[in-house]
This record gives sequence, C-alpha cells and structure tokens, in this order.
Amino acid sequence: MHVAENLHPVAISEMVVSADPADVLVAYGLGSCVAICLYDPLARVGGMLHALLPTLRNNNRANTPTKFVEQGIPLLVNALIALGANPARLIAHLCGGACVLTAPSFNGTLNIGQLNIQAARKGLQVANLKLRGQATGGDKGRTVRLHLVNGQVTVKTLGQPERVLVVER
Amino acid sequence: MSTQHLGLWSKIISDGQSQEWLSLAMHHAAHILSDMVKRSIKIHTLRTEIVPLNELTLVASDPEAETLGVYLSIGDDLPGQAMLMLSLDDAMYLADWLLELRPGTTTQLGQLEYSALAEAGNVMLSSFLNALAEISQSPLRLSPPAVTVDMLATILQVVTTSVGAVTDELLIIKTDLKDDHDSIWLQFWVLPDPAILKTLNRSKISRVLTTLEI
Amino acid sequence: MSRIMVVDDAQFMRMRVSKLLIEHGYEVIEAIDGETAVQTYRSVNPDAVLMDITMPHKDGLTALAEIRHFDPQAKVIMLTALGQQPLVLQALQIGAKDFLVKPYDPERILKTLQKVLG
Repeated sequence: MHVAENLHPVAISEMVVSADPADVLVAYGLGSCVAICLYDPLARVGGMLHALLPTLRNNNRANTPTKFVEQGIPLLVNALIALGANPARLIAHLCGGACVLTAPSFNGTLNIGQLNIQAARKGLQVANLKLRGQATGGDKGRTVRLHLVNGQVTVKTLGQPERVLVVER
Repeated sequence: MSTQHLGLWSKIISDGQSQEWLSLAMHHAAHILSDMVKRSIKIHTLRTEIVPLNELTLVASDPEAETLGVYLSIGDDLPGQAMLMLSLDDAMYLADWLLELRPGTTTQLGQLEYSALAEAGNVMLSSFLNALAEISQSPLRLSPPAVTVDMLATILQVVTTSVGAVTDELLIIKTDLKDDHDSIWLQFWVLPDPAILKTLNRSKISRVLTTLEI
Repeated sequence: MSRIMVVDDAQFMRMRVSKLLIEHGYEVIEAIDGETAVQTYRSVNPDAVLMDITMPHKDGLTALAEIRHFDPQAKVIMLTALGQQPLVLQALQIGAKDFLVKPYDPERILKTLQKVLG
C-alpha cells in the first residue's frame, strides 16, 4: 500500500516530531547546521532537530533552545516520549556539520560544523542514544529526510542522487 | 560592539534619509558591476527586512536550487556580512561577461571563473560601502571573498552561523539586480550586525523601495 | 623593459592586470598574497609593484610596510576595492606612491605606472 507523503520542512532552530506514517520530515541544505533524527521503530514515532550551534552559553540573549545541539537533543527526546516513544528503542542518525564557505570573518574562523558534530555525538551519548548512521563533515550542503513510515533516513547533496543512510551495525 | 559602530548602521538604516542613502550606495554597486561587464546592470528592487532565522529559506521556491554564493565579512565601522547570489546558469553567464567571452562559452566553473565572480562580489560590496562610508569618513575592512556553488538553502545558512548565538533575527538589506535583457538576475544581500536590532525603531524598517530604471 | 610585480589573491584580477601590462611592454611577475609578495620582492627586485590591500596571509598594507623597510626606494602602487580616505592616507603614509580604486581603469593604471617609474 502506498502511503502519500506529507513533507514537513524543519527549518533552522526548529524541531518537529510526528506519529503519522505519511509524514516526511525534511531539513534542506544543511551546511554547518546539523540535523539529528530519532525514530522508534516499534511505536513508529520520530522527530528531527535542525540545530545551528553547538551549545547555548550563559551570555546568550537568544532564547530558542532548539537552535542549540546540546539543549535541543533532550527536548527532542522528551517530545518523542510524549508521543509514545521508548527512549531505549530510539535509533539516531546525524547529518550535516559541513564547512561550506571559508572566509576569514572578524569573529574568528571556527569550524562550527565540526563543533556541532562533536556536540551531537556527546549529546546523544549523554542521552544514552546510539548513533546508527551519519553523513557529516565535508564541504557540501546536505538535504536530509526522515520517513516516518519506516524510519528511513535519506541524504542528498547537489549533483548526487538521494541515498539511504544505512544503519551501521 | 561599540555604540559608535551601532550608531553608524542605525543612522543609515533608520534615518529619514536612509532610503536615499541605501539606494544611492546600491546604485554605485550596480554601476561598478556594469562597468566591469560593459553592460547595463540595474536595481530592480531594494528593501530592508527583518527575517527570523527559521524563516530565512521560507520564501525560496526551490531551496535545493543550484546557487552560486559570494560571501564577505565586513569589519570596523559597518560590521556585518554580505552575500551575492546567482543561479548557477546566471553565474556562468556573468563569468562569460567578466572574462570577455562569448555568452554561453562557460559551461563549468573553474578556478578562474570562481575568482572572477568572487571579485565581482568584492567590488560591488566595496563600492556600496564606499558610498555609505562617505557619510562618516570612517575606516572599513572587508574580508577576502569566499565563493562556492551549493543548494540555495546551504548558501543562505552561511549568514546565520556567525550571528546565530546572539540573535533569532536577521536584518537584511536585499537588492535584486538584473541586466537590461533579463539575461541574469543577481541577489545582493547586506546584513548589518544584528546587534543593531536592539537599537532600531522597527516601524522604520520593512519598507520596499522599488526602482525600475528608465 | 620594466619589471612589475602584480599582487592580488584574486586570480582574475592578476590575470587582467598582467595582460594589460604585458600588452604594453612590461614584464610581469605575480604574487598571490602579502607574504609571497615580500619574498618575491626580495629575490626579484621589481621596478614597481601593483598591490591589492585585502588579502589572506598578510594584507597589502603590512606587505607594503615590510617592502619599504627592506627597500626605502620601493615603488608601490596600491590597487584596491575599498577606497576610503583614512585607508588612502594610511597607505601613502606607509610609503605607497599612489592609490587606485578597483575596478581599475586601464588608462589610469598605465599612466600611474609611467609616472611612478619616472
């Protein structure tokens, strides 16, 4: 049976969770941003966090916690639990963290992409979530889709066909 | 961020004459590019907007469209960022013009073509800032330009990284430019340091200045 | 034949300036940033230099200062996109012989070079 797809974009600093098998969550063109995808295959619920920066610092005046990897992951997990997920069953995928344009800015050149990847790995570890698949680093943007029908995560870069992120055993 | 630096952008963005200043400065940039390519490039629209980070790519009809981006960082008295964007096809056309080749010659962007496009962005932004800086005679600094081709959403995301820690919104001076024959369209964004949003009267922003040159 | 060093991190700009100079009988050496410019100046001792300001790995003003320190008679013309007065004055104070704003006008570059070479 073919399930019609509902495409739900997950923009920068947003988090979307769903229990609808017809939903496909998509983050377009991840540069240094990362998308963390979590899926419970038994409850068939899943969610995506599209974070821009690794962690909220004390002197930040910005107040969207889902902008940050470290603060966003627990929020994503809690939102999924509220939908009926069991955190022990959650399968995690990590995408993004590229370094797309290197221009020496006057704020100093930090590889935010790498910092986001490190923060994501640490955040998943802290939440006792195992990272099962990833497409990270490099210098090209990625579009990532989480298909709620089966938890499959697909990745696409410019000029390349969309490919499924294979769950690492 | 010194209040003096904020003061200059604030003055430029929200002074009663700001539309004139921005328009004049952007006309300089268009004129300079026209000189470089020996063709008429003109402003189609110019507007100043406040855009929440999560809505940045919302207006893009195709966030995965192949896009060339030239990115520069601005320091000192007018701190901020700038991004020049074209579709890949238009970028190749522009490269032909810059390299004085028959339009349609460039089918792939190599190092020289990237360099030419980066320099176009550099010169446009410099010209825009030169014109604005006349108001204050202040020193400015520009980073060397960085250039790449990627999905539109990826190019747009670049401007959020260095400021995302301190703001949920971007102030963007957006200019659409084109040549007389609609052969190429360019989007030229100048983003003042968003710290100035705290000093601005928002009712003075979000004006649309539409100019169709005769 | 006068030997001119052209310094700019943008390949496109180097190409255009070099082409113009070669067409008008000059010999050209290129350098891609301030660091290379200083080293090349020491080894090649060009008759004049055309140099951009905004470059990675040592900007044009720093390179200008070092070249002038090494050779107080060095003839350096700054060629750059940003042209505010404070920058022009700074360059002239450090010892630039002239200052041109990009995108250059070919006639002006040639005239300025001729004037500086004397």
